[in-house]
Amino acid sequence: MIGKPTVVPLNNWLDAKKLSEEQERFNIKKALVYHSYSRDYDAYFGDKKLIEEIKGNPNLYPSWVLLPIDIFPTDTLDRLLEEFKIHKVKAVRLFPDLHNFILEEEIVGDLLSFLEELKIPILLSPNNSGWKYIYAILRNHPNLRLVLVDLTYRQSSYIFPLLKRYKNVYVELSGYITFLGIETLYKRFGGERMIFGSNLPYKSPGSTIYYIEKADIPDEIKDYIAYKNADRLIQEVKL
Amino acid sequence: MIDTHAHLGKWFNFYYDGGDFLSMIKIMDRIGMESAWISALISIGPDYDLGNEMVLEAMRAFPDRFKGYITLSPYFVDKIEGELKKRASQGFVGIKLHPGTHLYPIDGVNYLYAYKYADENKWPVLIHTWGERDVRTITEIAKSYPNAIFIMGHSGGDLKSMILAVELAKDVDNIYLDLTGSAMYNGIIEYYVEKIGSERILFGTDFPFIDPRPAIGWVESSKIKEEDKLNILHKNAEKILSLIKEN
Repeated sequence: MIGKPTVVPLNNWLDAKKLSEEQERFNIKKALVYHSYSRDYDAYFGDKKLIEEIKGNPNLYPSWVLLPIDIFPTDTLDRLLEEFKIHKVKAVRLFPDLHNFILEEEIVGDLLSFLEELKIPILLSPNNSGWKYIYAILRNHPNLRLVLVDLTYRQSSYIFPLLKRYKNVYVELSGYITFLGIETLYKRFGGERMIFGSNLPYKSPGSTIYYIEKADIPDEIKDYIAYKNADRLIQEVKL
Repeated sequence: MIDTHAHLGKWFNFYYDGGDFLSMIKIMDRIGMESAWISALISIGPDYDLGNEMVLEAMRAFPDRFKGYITLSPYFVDKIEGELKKRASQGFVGIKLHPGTHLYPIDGVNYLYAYKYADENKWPVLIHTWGERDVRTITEIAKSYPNAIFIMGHSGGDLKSMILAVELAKDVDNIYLDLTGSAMYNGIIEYYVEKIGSERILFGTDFPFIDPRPAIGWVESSKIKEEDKLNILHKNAEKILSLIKEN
């Protein structure tokens, strides 16, 4: 995330330049980013701000924060698609609890069908949407490319059944720090369902990098986790 | 590298592979962790005695790799003195209290003997703290038992409490701040070192409750001097052990 959030203890926030410096420090070549204003102020305002701030940096891919289409300024899916094409939007984020909506089919069904069709990954935190809704949207949209973010080490009981049933569900690792978590996911589901994420500015990329580097899995699988899986998801977006 | 806040076994409400001491040794070897100071998760839960036995078994199997905390339950107060003496004779090196799961206040009367014991023997007491109230309470307790070493488990846990923790610990020399925690807030290590130096900050991971590797990466990649990292990851824990040995 770039931009100043509402709550800024330790003055811990990044603009695009500082983010690039952190990326360089940790040898992170590319990143999907969203803007704090999209989360903490106004989704569309922040999305536009994001495009402005990452302009000229081809290694930062925009991830737009969306709302249900009925209350989003680009109020038809055709118009949203136009915006996505113009700005090369490669992923979206939803914050249902924070933005005061629920993932019911009547509210987000059309939007999710649209994202499913275009193979646009959705980054979603179960802690901001509820596991029941995550299960429900996948029943209705089984091909949705869903990246579970902001996970915790206590959530394997929810994660495993999803990975077993839905081939397009992915685990972003920065929060999933359960004991032997990478090894367990690899043994059960292979190496293509895990994705490196830093969760900057809230976490240090060093945590997840070390976790992957020291995992007891083949080196080629580490490459998939570090960048190949995410790269494939981004490349497969059909705008 | 010494992990001063580790565990052993399973936890009741979430899943992970392993958790037995052999699975712990395997990962410790992989990451070059010299030793872990452990308390059994079942001790923090329903059976302190069985858990302390499990820790003893691990200590006997790998005496150089596992140091044991004696976990006490405030609900078996008449057993505390005997448990401390028995386990001390078996080579345990500290006390672990978990007021959070035991739903008992840090300054509750049933814990006072443990503090007195630690004070007399210059022992570390690792106390789980979560929230501002715990941080304030442990600070006051530490002032009353100046020879004991109070390890403020999780340093209060949430970010607001962690910031308060360093403010309060600044002037109380027998409080050590513990980095253990799932959140691993970016910037807090640098903030702590700036506020109180690195000599009273301890490395911990909660492992196998949580995987130890992310915490190592967090410390290793923090923007502090190498000598500060060495203090946090190793030297401060060694110092605590040397105080116990001297005694």
